Amino acid sequence: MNIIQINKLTKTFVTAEKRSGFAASLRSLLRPQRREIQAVKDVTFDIAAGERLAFIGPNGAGKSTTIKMLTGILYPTSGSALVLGKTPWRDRRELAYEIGAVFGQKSQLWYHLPPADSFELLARIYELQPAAYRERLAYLVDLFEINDYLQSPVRKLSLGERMRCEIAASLLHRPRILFLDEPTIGLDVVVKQRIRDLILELNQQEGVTIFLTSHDAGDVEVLCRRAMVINHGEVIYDGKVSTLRRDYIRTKTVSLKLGEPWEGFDDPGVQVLKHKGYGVKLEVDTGATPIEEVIGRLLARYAVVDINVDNPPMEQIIARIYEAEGRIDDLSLEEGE
Amino acid sequence: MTRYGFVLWTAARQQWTYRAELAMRTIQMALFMGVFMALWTTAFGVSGQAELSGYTVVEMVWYLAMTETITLSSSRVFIEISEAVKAGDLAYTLTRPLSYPFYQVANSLGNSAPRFLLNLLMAAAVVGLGMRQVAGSLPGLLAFLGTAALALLLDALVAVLIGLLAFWIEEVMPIFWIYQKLLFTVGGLFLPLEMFPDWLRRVAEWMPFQFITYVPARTFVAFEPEFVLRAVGGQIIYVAVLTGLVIFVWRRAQLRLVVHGG
Repeated sequence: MNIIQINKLTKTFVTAEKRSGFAASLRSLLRPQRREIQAVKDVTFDIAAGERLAFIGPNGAGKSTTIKMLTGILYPTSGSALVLGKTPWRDRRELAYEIGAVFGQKSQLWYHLPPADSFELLARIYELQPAAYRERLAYLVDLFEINDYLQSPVRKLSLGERMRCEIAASLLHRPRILFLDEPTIGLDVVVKQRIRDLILELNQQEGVTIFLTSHDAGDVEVLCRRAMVINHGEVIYDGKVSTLRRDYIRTKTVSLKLGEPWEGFDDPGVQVLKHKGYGVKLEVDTGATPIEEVIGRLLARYAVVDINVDNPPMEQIIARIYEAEGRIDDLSLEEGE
Repeated sequence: MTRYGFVLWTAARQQWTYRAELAMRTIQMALFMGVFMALWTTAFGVSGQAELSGYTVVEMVWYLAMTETITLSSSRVFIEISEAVKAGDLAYTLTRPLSYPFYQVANSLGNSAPRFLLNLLMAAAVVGLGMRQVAGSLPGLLAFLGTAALALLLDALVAVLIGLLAFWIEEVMPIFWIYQKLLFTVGGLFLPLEMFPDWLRRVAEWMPFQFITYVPARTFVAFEPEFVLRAVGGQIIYVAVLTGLVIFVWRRAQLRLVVHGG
C-alpha cells in the first residue's frame, strides 16, 4: 500500500531581488525585480508503508522543501500529494497526529527545561492517555537510552544526547511516518552510527515508514533500501541503494598519515590521488577490491599514524549519475553557472 | 484548550528558571516607583489640593504601580515570532496539531506570568513602604487580578499580530514602539483617563489600549462593581476582535510562508 503519493509536486519561491547602492535600492522599492526560484520541479513518486527511503542531494537541492510540503508546512505552487490519504497542507492538523518529524538543525525541546517536561507537553498536545503515554515513554527511554539525562536541562546535553531525545520526542504519539531532515548533521561518527541503528530498529519493530533527507551518503548506505537523488529540484535517480552504491558510490577515499615514507601500493582499483611527505590520499574502487581488504593490507605494510575513510562527496555522485545518463550537457551547464 | 493551558504552564516554568535575573530586573520597577512617588507628592503639594480629577496622591501612586506592573510584564513574543519567520524556524510548531498563533499566545502568557508576579510584589513593597498606605481593597485586588489577566491576554494577542507582520515587513520593532507609545498615552500608563481633556478621553475609551493599562489599575484603586463589569465586557469584546484579526492575518501569512533551507 502506498502511503505517500506525490504527483508533479512543484514549489516556486518568488524573491525580490535586492540591488546594492542607494539609487538601485530605491528602484527596487518602486519596481521590485522579482526572481523565481524553482526549489522543487515536477517531483513524482510513491512510498509504500514500512519503506526506508533516503532523499539525498547537495545543499539547496530541494530536500527540505519537499519534506515541508509533505508535512503540511508549505503550500506547493502546483501538483498534488497524498500522505496517509490526506492532503498535507490542507489537513495539516489532522495529519499531525499520524506523522512525526525531526529537523536536525532545529530543536523542539524547551531549552532550559529537562527533556521530560517537553515530553509531558507533547503528550498533552497529542492528547495521549496518561497510562498509554507512560508506557510509550518507558519504551522509548529504554530504546534510546536516555534515562540518565531525562531530568537534566536540555542546554546541558551534548548534541548526540539531545538528538536522541529529539527523535524520541517525535515518536511519542506513535507516528506512522517519520520524516527526518538531516538527523545526523554535526554528529561524530560513533553517534551517527548509533542514531542510524536506532532508526533502523524502530522501523523493524514498529513498521514506521522512514523518509530521510541527508547530504551524507553514509546515512543512506546503512539505513535505507531505496534512495532518491535530487538536484536543482529534480529527481535524477530513484532506485535501490545497492544499485546506487554499485554504480555511483563505488569509490571511497582513504586518507593516511604514515610513520614512514610512502613507497606505493598496488592493489587493483587503488589510485593515488595525492601524495606529500608522509601523507597520502587514495581512491579505492570498492568494486575491484573491498575497502576492508585495502585497509588491512595498508595497515600490514605501513606504520599508520592516522586513517580516514570517506564517501565521495554528493556532487561527485551526482556528476556520475549525469555522466551515466549521457547528460554531460546538463553538468557543464551547471558548472558554468 | 487544555493543550494551550499546558503550553502556558510549560512556558511559565521555563521563564521561572530565570527567576534570579527577573528579580534583579524588578529594581527598574523600584526606581520608577521611587521617581513617581517623589514627583506626585510634589505635584499634589504644589497644587495644594487633596484630590486631582478624583485621585488622591496615594491612589495616584498605587494606580501607577499597577499600570507599570502590567507594562513591565508585557509580551515580547513578537521578537520570537518575527525571528522565527525571518529564519524559517516555524517548522516544528507547524508539525503539531496546534494553531501556531494561539500556541504563541499561550507561550506569551506563560512568559508574562512570572514577571507579573515579581513586578507586582516589588511595586507593592516599594509603594507600600514609601506611602505607608494602601489605596485598594481585597475585592479591588481580586478584580485587578482578573482584569489584569485579560489585559495580558489582549497584550499577547497584539504582540502575536505584531510578530506575524514579519511576513510582510522586514523589521517589526518600530510597530511595537508605536504600540508601546499608545499604551503610554491613550492607554493611561502615566495618567489616568480622568485627567485627559474630554474629547481625548472619549476617543481613548473606544480604543483597546486603555483596557490593557488603565482599566485594571483603576479597578484596583477604586473598586466599583459596575465599572468592573463594563470593563470586563469591553475587554472580552476586544479579545474577540483581536482573535478574529489574528486568525485572519495568520491565514494570509500561511500563503506567504517560506521555510528556509534547501
